Amino acid sequence: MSGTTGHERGDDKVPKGRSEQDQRYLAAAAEFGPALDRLARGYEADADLRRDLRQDIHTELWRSLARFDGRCSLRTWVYRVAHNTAASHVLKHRGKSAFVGVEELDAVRADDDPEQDVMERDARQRLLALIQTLKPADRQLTLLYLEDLDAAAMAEVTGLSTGAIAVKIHRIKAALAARFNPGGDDGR
Amino acid sequence: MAAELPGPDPKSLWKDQEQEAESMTLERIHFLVRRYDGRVRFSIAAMAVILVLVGLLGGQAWIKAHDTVMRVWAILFVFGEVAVCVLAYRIVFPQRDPAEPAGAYLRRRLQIRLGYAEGRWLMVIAPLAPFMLLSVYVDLTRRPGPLGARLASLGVFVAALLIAGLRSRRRIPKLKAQITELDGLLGG
Repeated sequence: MSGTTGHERGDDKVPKGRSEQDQRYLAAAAEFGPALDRLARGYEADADLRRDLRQDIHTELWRSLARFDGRCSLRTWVYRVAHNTAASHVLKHRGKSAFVGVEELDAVRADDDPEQDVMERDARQRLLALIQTLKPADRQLTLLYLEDLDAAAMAEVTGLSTGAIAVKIHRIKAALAARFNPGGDDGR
Repeated sequence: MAAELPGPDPKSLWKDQEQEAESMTLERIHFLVRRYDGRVRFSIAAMAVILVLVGLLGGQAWIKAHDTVMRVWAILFVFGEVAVCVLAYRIVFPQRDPAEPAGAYLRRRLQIRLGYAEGRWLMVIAPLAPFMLLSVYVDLTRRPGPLGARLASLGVFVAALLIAGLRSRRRIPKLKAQITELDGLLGG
């Protein structure tokens, strides 16, 4: 574990034995493992750092499940833990990269960047590059939108108001539509 | 800039990604947790060793002290170092809820970074300030040698503090903007 959030203390006492914690983790990983992999891709472009982030997310998830108290659904819990771990990772490893909001993506498009031209040959790479450019708050919502969560579920994961989420999602859809389906629908 | 290419639905594009890595096994998770716990134990042991050394050095300084000023100097050294260790422990191992809503968690992390950018990191070494001030007083009034050389070392220390402070302040506007935006999203 790279220690992205690992140095943060939590009460890791296992309530009913480690086997129950293991079973909870296995169930969560079976259901959300692929989504967590995609989330790690959305947050980290560098392959080595992404491997560390992935390990951190899974380890934090395993640790956190000792404290899973049913205050929210397992899906909400998993996404919260994963996004929190990833946010810490981004804040720690951001270096000199400047993130932008969904509203500012047009300015990024106008840049004449040869590397960007190469990346744009592949739609998936374009999508990843776009996500990795976003500020953490916008990135959270974009990733949750792409994972098909509705506004209420997003509000539960992020704690943001549903009204604010609706506005943001509208902008995210417009930005995605402009890149992947110009002249078509709004990216739904 | 490459032309915008019409492409598939971004959600399908996102969800149809190939899994990048093998699933994390429980054995791997347990190994990573053991390794992390080992690092935590090492950090705590290192801190304990530092505190013992501080106690020994403080005791030695107390024994060698010939007057009240030097006894106070020894006391301030020990208490300052112990307080710094306690503060450092709380920073390195903060209490937290692993499943805090992601927006609130992100805001809290940004607020911590803003605090440090605004100079809160000085609070960590603040308990040592009385000891350092007394050290300067002792250095200027009791040590032999040219006054200029002693003032120069003090000047370098103050300059280093100022440079570190000014460098960290450059991040303040962006951090404040992100926090303000998150407040709007959380509070709406």
